[in-house]
Amino acid sequence: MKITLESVSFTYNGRSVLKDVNLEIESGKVYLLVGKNGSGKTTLLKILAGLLVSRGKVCVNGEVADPISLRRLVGYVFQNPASQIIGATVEEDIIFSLEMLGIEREEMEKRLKDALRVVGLEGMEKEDPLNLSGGQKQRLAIASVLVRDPPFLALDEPVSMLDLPSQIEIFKLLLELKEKGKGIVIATHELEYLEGVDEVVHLNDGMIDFRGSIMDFVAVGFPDVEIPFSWRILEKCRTCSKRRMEDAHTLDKR
Amino acid sequence: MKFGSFLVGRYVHVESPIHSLDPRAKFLGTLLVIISVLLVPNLFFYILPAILILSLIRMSRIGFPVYLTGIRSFWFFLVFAAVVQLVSVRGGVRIFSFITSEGLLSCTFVVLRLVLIILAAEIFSMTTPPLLSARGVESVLSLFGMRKLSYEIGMIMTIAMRFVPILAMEADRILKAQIARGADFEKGKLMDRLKRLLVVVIPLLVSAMRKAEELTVAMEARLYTGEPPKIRYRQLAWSTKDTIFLAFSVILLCSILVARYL
Ligand SMILES: Nc1ncnc2c1ncn2[C@@H]1O[C@H](COP(=O)(O)OP(=O)(O)OP(=O)(O)O)[C@@H](O)[C@H]1O
Ligand SMILES: [Mg+2]
Repeated sequence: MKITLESVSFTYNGRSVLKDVNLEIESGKVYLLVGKNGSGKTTLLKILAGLLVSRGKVCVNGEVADPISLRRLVGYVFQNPASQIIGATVEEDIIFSLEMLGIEREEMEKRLKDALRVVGLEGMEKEDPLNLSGGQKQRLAIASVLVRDPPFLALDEPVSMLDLPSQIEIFKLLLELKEKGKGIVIATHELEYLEGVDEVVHLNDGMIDFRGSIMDFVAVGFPDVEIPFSWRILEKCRTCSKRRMEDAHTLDKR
Repeated sequence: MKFGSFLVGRYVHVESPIHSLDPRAKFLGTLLVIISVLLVPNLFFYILPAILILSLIRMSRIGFPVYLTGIRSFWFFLVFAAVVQLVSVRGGVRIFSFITSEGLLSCTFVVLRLVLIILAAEIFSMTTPPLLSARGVESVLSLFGMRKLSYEIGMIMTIAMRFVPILAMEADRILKAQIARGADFEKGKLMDRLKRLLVVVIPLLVSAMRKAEELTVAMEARLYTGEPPKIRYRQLAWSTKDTIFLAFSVILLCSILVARYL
């Protein structure tokens, strides 16, 4: 499956926030959306998830899709997890979208259990979400979306409040989901765990000025995105070995 | 100053036979009790709903003082009603300046009625978790048809109950922020203090509007369309004690009707 944004533009009260954005999101791939504060990441994800209506076209497999069907297709995790809480208990909050989908009760129960286990919130079913810690709220937000099992995920800084081990845990989980064929877009400032990312998309003031592999992204280098040291070294090694290969090649020729 | 303390009739979590009643039975029963109270013909017959309400309070295992906080927060309302009765109803023996025996009687009558209604409502709200009370109201309303409307009313209740604690926290936060900036809400003339309170009220309104907007988007993201779901996760289970409870409320209503019209 494939979602395409075709010349998507968006303005907030006359201020242009996205300008002529073109992007394809495919099943089974992980996309990283990066860019500085206010560059339009959240806006782009919301358009993708059918929560904002833009100028331009959003197509699914080549056909223009309406917001309602996009919402069913793309699970959206909010940047601020507190703003996505609906239920009065953890359990209720996770179940909400399943009730909307009309899923059988046994299935609901099974999915609820799975979702709680996956994000590590077992035993907190009856807690009031408002009393959870920031990180726990973030886990709940992820669980409430995973439980729906949508083919695409749009995650807006999903690990910003998690401690390091939990961040790794969630990224592992996302990679597993990728293997299961989900298309995943992650807006993030957290670039430590880039394995398995298929494409980096860089937003600059509402425009996409880079799309490509991590290595290329690291090679180009953007001042507004901090690249972890380990990736810089990896990239150096790659360019070094490439140069050595080329050197060897020219030596051969001589 | 704590905004949370304004909240009355909030759910109190203890185990009791009243807590475990089906919310539909509880809502319907509460309605019947309130209607009975409204139909009581004279002071004497208040004894019937009073007995039922007091025994329910006893069975709810929530201390009577907790119920009194509810009544206390309506004190202004009660005093107002009492004064209106004293002033407007004249007759019988004159007791003290404008107070007459008839006035005193009707004042007692009205205040008792209000107190009993508040207590009945408190029994429902303090023994039913917010979520279930919304479900109870929804189910009872849908007995009269209009499934979609009942669902929406239930949803509005859920959200409203969700909103109250959020706004209370928000108010607390804004207040603290203003105090941190040197605002003083304790000193000064009443007018000045009220004016300074505006710096809390206005950000609170703005924040409430933003929160409402956020919640709408959150619900849309979770596929809410306004259609009632066909399958509910939490099933309500009616049991014998629900029937018994409801039977008591029906008996109460019937006896009041008999007392009134025969
Ligand atoms: N509700 C709104 N009303 C008006 N302007 C908005 C609104 N939401 C966002 N904006 C503006 O749109 C621009 C893009 O915002 P957006 O939230 O998409 O950025 P972002 O890349 O997600 O930033 P961050 O990294 O801080 O999350 C910003 O300049 C912001 O001021
Ligand atoms: Mg953002």
